[in-house]
Amino acid sequence: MVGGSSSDPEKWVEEHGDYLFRCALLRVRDQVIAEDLVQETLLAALQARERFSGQSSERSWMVGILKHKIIDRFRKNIREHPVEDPEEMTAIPDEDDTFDKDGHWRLDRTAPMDWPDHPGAVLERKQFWESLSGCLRKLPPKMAQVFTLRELDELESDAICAMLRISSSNLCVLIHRARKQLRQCLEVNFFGHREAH
Amino acid sequence: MQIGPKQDVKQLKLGIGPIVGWLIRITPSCQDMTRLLSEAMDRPLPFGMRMKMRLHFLICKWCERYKNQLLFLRQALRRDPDKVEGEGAASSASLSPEAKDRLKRVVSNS
Repeated sequence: MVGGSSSDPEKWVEEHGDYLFRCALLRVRDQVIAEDLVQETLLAALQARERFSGQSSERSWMVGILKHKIIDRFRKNIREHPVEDPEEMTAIPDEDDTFDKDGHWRLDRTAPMDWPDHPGAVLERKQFWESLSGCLRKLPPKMAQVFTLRELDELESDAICAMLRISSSNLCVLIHRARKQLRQCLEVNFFGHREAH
Repeated sequence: MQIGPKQDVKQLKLGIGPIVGWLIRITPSCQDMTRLLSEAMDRPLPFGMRMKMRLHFLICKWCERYKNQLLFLRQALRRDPDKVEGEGAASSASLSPEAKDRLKRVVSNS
């Protein structure tokens, strides 16, 4: 039984094209490369359609292919353009003023607020996901790359270090900054205005 | 001299003041806590450090919030990756009509 065979490849473009494109864009931050990845994915899906079992939805099957293609692309990029200075990425100091000189939160500005709603209820709100997507798109590319590999693709840190050829301490710094920035962005954009603690 | 709730609080504060000061000295700063809390999500930290972090939570609700909020973000993203990957924001990018036509040509010609 070939689950996907009834589907016309041209229809795939209409049905899944935009979805795959956004999924790729979130990770590679380049329209041309993202389009390229969608094309590679569709071609690979076309070749492998006999093997599509129909166990999962057609879309999640294609997203799975896309993720492999993205990881291949990352590996290839690193082979072709190895990072000359491995410290370069994290050399830029964390210039923000989240903490005072003693390393404590600034209670009037940056200390984490009590996020009010029940977490489960928040996840049902469209606006939450819009804010979160917007905040993800604001992350600098390198941070977004490691963050999505870790939190969306659920790769282990060691695997990410090996793939991107970065040290584990560099990865730690990048992911820490990504999480911090994302949390802060979501607090400002979704959870609302800062009030007294 | 009045004895009331205010004074109780004052006395209480006097009583725990040195302990709080001690905890501030022996536990990581909030800045270090944010770094460590992130690291703890990716690899197990040594026992001693985990204990110091727990002690820090006794004196700092903000770091505890920070930790819970990072975990909340992780759960949200892992439970519903679709929501940010594809559907995402209404303002999300989409393929141009030209790109779609090109892709259709590519898939139908192979």
